[in-house]
Amino acid sequence: MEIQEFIEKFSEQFFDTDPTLFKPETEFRQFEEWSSMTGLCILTMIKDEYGFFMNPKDFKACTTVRDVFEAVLSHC
Amino acid sequence: MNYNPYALTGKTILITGASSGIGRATAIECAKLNATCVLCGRNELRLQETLRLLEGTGHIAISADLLKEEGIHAIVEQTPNLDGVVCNAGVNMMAPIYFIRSEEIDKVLRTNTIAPMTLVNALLRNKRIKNQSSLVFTSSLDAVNPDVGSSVYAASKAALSSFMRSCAKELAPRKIRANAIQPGLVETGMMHNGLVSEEDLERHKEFYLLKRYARPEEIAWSIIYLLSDASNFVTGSVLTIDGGASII
Repeated sequence: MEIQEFIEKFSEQFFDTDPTLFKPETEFRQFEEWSSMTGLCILTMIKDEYGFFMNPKDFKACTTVRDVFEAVLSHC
Repeated sequence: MNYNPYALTGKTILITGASSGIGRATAIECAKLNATCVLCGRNELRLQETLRLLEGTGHIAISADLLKEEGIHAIVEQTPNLDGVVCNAGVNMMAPIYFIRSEEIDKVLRTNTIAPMTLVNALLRNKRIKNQSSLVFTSSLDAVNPDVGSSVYAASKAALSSFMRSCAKELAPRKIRANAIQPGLVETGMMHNGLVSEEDLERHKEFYLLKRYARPEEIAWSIIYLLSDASNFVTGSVLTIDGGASII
């Protein structure tokens, strides 16, 4: 799995935020659009695309997109 | 100045079940209030009839079967970005519980419950629903106060009202509102289906404080309220429009 592909899927869970703003080091909770619903969408996307349900506690510990990517990678 | 908080100027509204009854009346009234309408229905001929009845320009009709994946796909492909969605298409069924058959349950639940869920899901996933838009679901008084013989229909509409509440919660961060209308009986083709005699229908009107059933446009006006800026602080609500039937 490439991080660029992951970032694309990650950014699709945001409706208003410009997808080009998403980089590996992006702290995604900083976006105005962020809400617990966005978090749930991301967890569901990970389950659909990568086949495992990430523990919300683990997700909460992630700050950047790369953190989430690496957590997913460790389960693939 | 033309002050009208109920105006739909600049709004694009998708209406399912637009070829007849409440859906057609809603389209006609929305167009009168300057909305651009996207009409959806299975019957191409009747859909085109509705289209011809609309004031203004820019309206489109999409002939599609919401029960089929390709029908949902056609709507998503052809519809512009939306300020409002009216999930109105529905089918009635009257049978005592003793006589209901699983294929009939399947048909009613697919049409009244699963199709609107699938449509809303597809529109959201394809980013067709704008922020601050309004979703309106046509539920029924039967959802909370079912008539004898309406068990499956009542259950399908109760489920739809429940889905509406989830939409209201989950879409609130985007300021998308979701509400339902809960009409009593309405003078549409659906009620003159031969299952209940005209005499019984007349007698049944005595259960309505106003001694009559609603006209389709009277339901449309409530839908329009929920689509318009007049209801900007209303979400997760069910609006009962029943001529007082539920308090008799």
